Amino acid sequence: MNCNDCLGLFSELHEGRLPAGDAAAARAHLGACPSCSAGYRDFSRALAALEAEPLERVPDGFEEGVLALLAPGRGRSVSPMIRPALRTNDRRPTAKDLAWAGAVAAAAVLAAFLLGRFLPYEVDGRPSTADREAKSVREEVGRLAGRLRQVQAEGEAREAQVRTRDEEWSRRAREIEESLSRKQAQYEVLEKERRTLSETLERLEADRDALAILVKELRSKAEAQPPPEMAAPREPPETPEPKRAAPPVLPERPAAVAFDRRRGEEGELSIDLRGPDSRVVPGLIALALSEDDELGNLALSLLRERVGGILPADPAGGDAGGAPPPRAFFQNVGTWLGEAWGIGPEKEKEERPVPAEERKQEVERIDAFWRSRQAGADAPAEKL
Amino acid sequence: MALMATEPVPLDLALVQAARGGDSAAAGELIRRHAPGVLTLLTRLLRGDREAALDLAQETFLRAYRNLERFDDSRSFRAWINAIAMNLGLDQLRKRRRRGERVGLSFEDSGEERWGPGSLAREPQDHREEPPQEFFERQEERDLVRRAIDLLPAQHRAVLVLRDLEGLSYEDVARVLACRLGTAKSKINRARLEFRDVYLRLEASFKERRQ
Repeated sequence: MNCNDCLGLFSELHEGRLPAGDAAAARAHLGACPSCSAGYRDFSRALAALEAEPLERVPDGFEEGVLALLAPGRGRSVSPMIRPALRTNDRRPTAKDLAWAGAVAAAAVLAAFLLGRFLPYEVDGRPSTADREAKSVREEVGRLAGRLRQVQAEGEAREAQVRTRDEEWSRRAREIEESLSRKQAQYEVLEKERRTLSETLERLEADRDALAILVKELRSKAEAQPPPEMAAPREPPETPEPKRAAPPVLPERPAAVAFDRRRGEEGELSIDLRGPDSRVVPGLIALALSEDDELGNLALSLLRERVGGILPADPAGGDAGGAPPPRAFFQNVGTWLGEAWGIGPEKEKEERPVPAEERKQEVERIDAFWRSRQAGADAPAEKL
Repeated sequence: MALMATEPVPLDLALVQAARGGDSAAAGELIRRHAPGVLTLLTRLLRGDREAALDLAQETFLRAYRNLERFDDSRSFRAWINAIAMNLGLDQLRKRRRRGERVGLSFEDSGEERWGPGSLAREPQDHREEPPQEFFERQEERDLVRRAIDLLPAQHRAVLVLRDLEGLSYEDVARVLACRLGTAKSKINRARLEFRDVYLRLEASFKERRQ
């Protein structure tokens, strides 16, 4: 097999239509001839591209256009497949029908006679050249009318597609806008929360700074004072044996104040206080006036802490109307830190028992001071 | 390749018989089934003149229905309708040649204009229905194939459409071309070889242009 023979078999080889012997010979030649082999490779590739080519798309309305041209009255002969559909109903004619038919036939004969005198027909009855041209024009007009309908149908189909696409885009745009507004609302809520958290953070940082200053002051104060071991030895309090009988009945006080009296493992008495100062302080005053010395002294010491926490930072300064007093929170923290480090006068006070009479007088002073504080913020601070 | 079966298809035969009996729905179905192939053949014969191809496709179906009684039921309707279309297309080409009109853009061109990048004219397409990148890639591939077909002689154009795009059998191609089976095979092979050469040259030219 030479190259020309092989070239002539490319198509059938590609389609697998060659007999086995011819196919083997062709493949043997391809294996031996690089030129034919490359040519066959290109042939297959080009054919693959060709076979992937789609058929032309027929415009919408094409079928209707063709069928419309086949309909009667278009200047063309009617297709045999359409003609039977145009038959009228088989109905026996009545006398009235026959009379009408006769009248129409007579009119047609008269019209034909009159028209025959004026139309350009030749003597032998065959249509003239002008008539043939007119027929041709009518056919052309009919064809153009069909084409026009076809184009109109295409245009309508295209408009429908565009409308559908526009509606789809509008729907998507609405969805995106709604999603955007939802996200905007979420963003505003989150932004509000962020602002709130930021303000809270600023307040907390201010508190932290104030606490740091307070701690620094307390440290410097602790360093300035002698260590607790070097302080003067305290007299051991001669406290009587605590009465472990039934605790005194608490005076009736407003609700929402909890005085939870209990004894710890080592037998020491403690009172848990819960509630605002306006409720707690009157309750403590009542407890401090109790006949039970242990309970009274404990209540008095708690009363000093409470009322002391409300007093100005430097009551001995005498300028109660000057700078506002530090918050009770900081004083309580300071008191706690002082107790933790074993400094400050409160610890000594707590450990010193107060006689009943002295305790009563002090409680009355605290009571008077408390009432004056409660009476109004403008009342002058009283030195305890 | 759209349809491979080209021997008398039972459905086609049933539709033809129904259409002869006056069933316009069957006639419409015949049009729907064969219009793409007929339109493709005429479009390629007229080298992309789609308007003229549509007119001739319409005329093809009109003639077919007028002569439906003469159709031989033992033959392929697809081959028959394609033969009508091909005759109309070749007549149109002859008329244009007589009038001195140029058919298409490239066949009568010569030199660089024929083979160069300028010959890759694109037909207007609706590209809004697919992503731009894919559209252009596919469009370029289609352009190459169409341009390569359009650069071939009319007989070869027709042969490629009938065999490789419409999927007619060798026998049906021979019927459409009104020649013997061996001649049809030879024409098919020659048309494909020529298409290969033109396609490869266009492809090389296209790649050069892109670089």
